[in-house]
Amino acid sequence: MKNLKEWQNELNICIRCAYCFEGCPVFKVLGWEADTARGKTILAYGLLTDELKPSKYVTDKIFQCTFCRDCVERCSANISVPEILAAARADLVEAGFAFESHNHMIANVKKTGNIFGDPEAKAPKREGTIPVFIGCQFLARPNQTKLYLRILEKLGLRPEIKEEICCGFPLFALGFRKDLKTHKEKFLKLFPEEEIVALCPTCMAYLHEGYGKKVKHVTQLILEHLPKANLGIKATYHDPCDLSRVTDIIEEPREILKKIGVEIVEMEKNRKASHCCGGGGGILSTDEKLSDQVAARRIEQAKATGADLLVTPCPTCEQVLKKASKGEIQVRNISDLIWKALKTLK
Amino acid sequence: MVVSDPDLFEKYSHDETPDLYQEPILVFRPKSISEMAKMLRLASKEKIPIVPRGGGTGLAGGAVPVKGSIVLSTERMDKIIEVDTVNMVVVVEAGVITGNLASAVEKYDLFYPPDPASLDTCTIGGNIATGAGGSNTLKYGSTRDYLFGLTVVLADGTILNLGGKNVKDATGYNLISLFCGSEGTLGVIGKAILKLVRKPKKRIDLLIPFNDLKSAVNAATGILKLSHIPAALELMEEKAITYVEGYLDKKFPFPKAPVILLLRIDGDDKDLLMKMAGEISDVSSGAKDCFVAQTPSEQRKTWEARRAISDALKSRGKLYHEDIVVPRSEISEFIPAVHQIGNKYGLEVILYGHLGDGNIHINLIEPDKKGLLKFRTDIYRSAKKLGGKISGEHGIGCIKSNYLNYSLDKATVDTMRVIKMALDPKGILNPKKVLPEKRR
Repeated sequence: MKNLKEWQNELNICIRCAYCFEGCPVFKVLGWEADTARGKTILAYGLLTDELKPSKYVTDKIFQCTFCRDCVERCSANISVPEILAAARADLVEAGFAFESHNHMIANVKKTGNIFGDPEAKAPKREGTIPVFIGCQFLARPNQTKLYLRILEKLGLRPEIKEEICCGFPLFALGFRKDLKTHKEKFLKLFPEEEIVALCPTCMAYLHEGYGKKVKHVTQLILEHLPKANLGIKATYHDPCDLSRVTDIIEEPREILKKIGVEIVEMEKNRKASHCCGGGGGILSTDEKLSDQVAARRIEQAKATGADLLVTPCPTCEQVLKKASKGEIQVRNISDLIWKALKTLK
Repeated sequence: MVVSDPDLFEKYSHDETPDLYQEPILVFRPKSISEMAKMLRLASKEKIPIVPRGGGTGLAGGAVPVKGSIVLSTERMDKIIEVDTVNMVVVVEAGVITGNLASAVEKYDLFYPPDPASLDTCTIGGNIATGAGGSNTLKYGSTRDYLFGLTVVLADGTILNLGGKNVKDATGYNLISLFCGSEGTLGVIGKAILKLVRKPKKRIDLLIPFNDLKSAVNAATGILKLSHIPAALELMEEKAITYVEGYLDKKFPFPKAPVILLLRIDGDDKDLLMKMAGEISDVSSGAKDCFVAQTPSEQRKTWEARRAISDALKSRGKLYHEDIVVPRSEISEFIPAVHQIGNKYGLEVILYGHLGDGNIHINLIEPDKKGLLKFRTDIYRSAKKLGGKISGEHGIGCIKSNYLNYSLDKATVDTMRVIKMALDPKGILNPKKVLPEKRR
C-alpha cells in the first residue's frame, strides 16, 4: 500500500462529522456508509493498516465514486478525498484488482493515445495562435469539436491544434500510476506550453492539477469575445463538477447564456453545490447502472425547473444526462446554443 | 461523601466549555485518598465510568460526565498539608484552590508561579491533570515544571506514591510526567508535592499599545531576545478590552489602541527592573507609547482585566475558544494566518493570550457552525505546518479528542492507547476523553 502510505496523516484527521454524506451522489443512490467519503477513507485506512485485505468488495466500493468532489467542498477537515481514493485505487490495481474495462481503456491509451482506442479519433490539426487541447471525449465527437473550432474562428480567434494524446487523468484516477509517469512525460513533449485552452472540463482540471499549467476553459475564451445575441429561450444549466468545484468556472458559462439571450432557470442544486451527472471517476465503465441512477436524480432536478432544455459544456455530462433524460428534457452542449446565436447575427 | 440527589447534580454536569452538559448518576466526594481508592475499587468492580473533577473550570470538556458515569469530585480534599520552607515545597491535597495555595505560601516569601486565569476557582488537581499554564509560564514554566511528588489513585484503587521532596530524581520511569496532563484518563490525582521558588520582591507591569498586530508581534520577538526574560508577555486585541470594560462595568488604565502588549517583569532589584523596562521600551519600536504600572492597585486592575477576558467574551454569546501553541519563532506567521482563515469563512476572530509562549487564545463569538468546523481544521493544519500543537494549556478533553491526529502521528496515538490499556484495562477512567475514537 505504498501509495496510501503517503496519505497516512490525512487519513487520520477525519473528525467523523459526516457532512460528506449530505451531497454524495453515490451515497444518495446506494445508501451505505461505505459509499460516502468517510466510509471510503475508513476502507482506505483499513487497507493501509492491513486490517483489511484487498478484495473485490473493497475494490468495488473504492471505485464507486464519481470524483465529483462534493465531499471535498463539505469536508470539515478539508481532506483531499479524490487524491486519497486515487492512491487507494493505485494500490488495489497494483494488488491485481484492476477492472477489465479499465485495463482495456489504459491499453487503448498506450496504443492509440486516446481512451477509446479509435485510431480515427485524430485531432483536426491546424496552425494558429492559441494552443487548444481537445481531449479524448471531444475527439470521439468530431462534430462537436468542429463546432467549437468554428465558433472560435468566427470570433476571430486562431486555435492551434496539434497531435495529441490523452491528458492522463484516467491513468491517475483509475490507479495506473506506473504508466502515468511515462505518459505524462510523453504528454509534456507534445504540450510544453505553459498556457493552454481546453475544451473538456476534466482535461482542463487535470492539466492544471496534474501539470501545473495555466489553463483556460473554452467557455472563458468564448465569453471574452462573444457578441450579444437574442435566442429568446429558457434553459437550465448543469455545472460540470470539474468546472464548478474544481476550477471555479461557475459564472462564465452562465454569462455566455445570458449574453446570447438564454433565460437560465437554476436547478435547486447549482454552482458549487451542483449534483453530479454520474459520469465521472470511471464508474461509467464499471457500474453503468449506478451512473444511470445518479444521472436520473439530476434529470429529476432539471425537470423540476420547468425548463425543457438542459445545457452543459461537458461532453460526458451531456452524454450521461441525455441517456437519463429519456427524451423528457432536451440535453445540449453549450456550443450548440452559441453557434445558433452566432448564426442569428449573420 | 456521596451526592445522590439529582437536584444537586447541576454543578457537576458541565465545566466552562460551552454547550456541554451531561448529568452524572452519582457524585463521589471523598475526604481522603483512602476513601478515593475505595470508591475507585468499587467503580472498577462494577465497571462504572468515573469522571474525576477539580474546580470544573476546564475549557475542553475534560470534566464533563459521560452518560451513566459517576463524578469523583476532589472538592473536599482541600487541605494544604505542609509548607516546607527549607526544601521549598508545599504538600497539598488535590482539591486545594490554586489561588489559595499561592497566597498561603506568600506568607513565607515563597512563590508558586503557575497562574491559570481561573486561579481563584480552579484546583491544583485539575491543574496537574491538564498540565495547566498561565501568564507566568514564559519565565517560570507551567504546572508540569513544579511537580516534585504525586499521589495518584489508579482505576483499580491502587495508590501510587511518586517522587518526593527531592530536587532531583532519576529513580525509574518518570511517572509523574505521565500522569500530568493525562486528564483523569490514567489515574486520579490525590495529593501533590509542589516546588516553590523565592518570591520576587519587585514587579513592574508594562502596557505597550500598538497600531497593528504586526508591530506588536515584531516587538515581542525583540523583547524575547533581551537579556532578562519577562515573567509574562500577553497580547490583547482592542475588542477584547472593550468587552471586558463592558462586562465588569469599569474603566481600566489601558491606552486606546488596536493591540496592546501586557508585560510583567519581576526581580529583586528595582533599578535593574527599570533598566529592563527601558530596554523593552527601546525594542518596541513600532509602539505608540509605553505605560508603566508600578502601584499594586494599578497592577491589580491590569491583571483583573486580563483574567476577565474569557468571561467577558462568554457574556457576549456562545463562545468558541482555541488554545493552539506554536514555537515562539512562528507566532508572527501564525497570527496573520488565523485572521486570514477567519476572513475566508466570514468569521470574526478575537485574539488574546500568551504571546510570549506562542500560545494564543483564539475566540469566536456565536460562529456559524459549518464555517467553524472548517476554520478549526484549517488553523490546526496551519499550526501543524509551523510545528505547533492543538493545545498549549487547556488540554484535549472531549472537544479536541477527535482532532488529536492533527498534532500527533499514528505511532504516538497508538502508544498512548497502549498506556491507557495497561493502566485502565476496563476503560472506566474518564472515557471518551483525550484519545480519539478508533477508526473502526
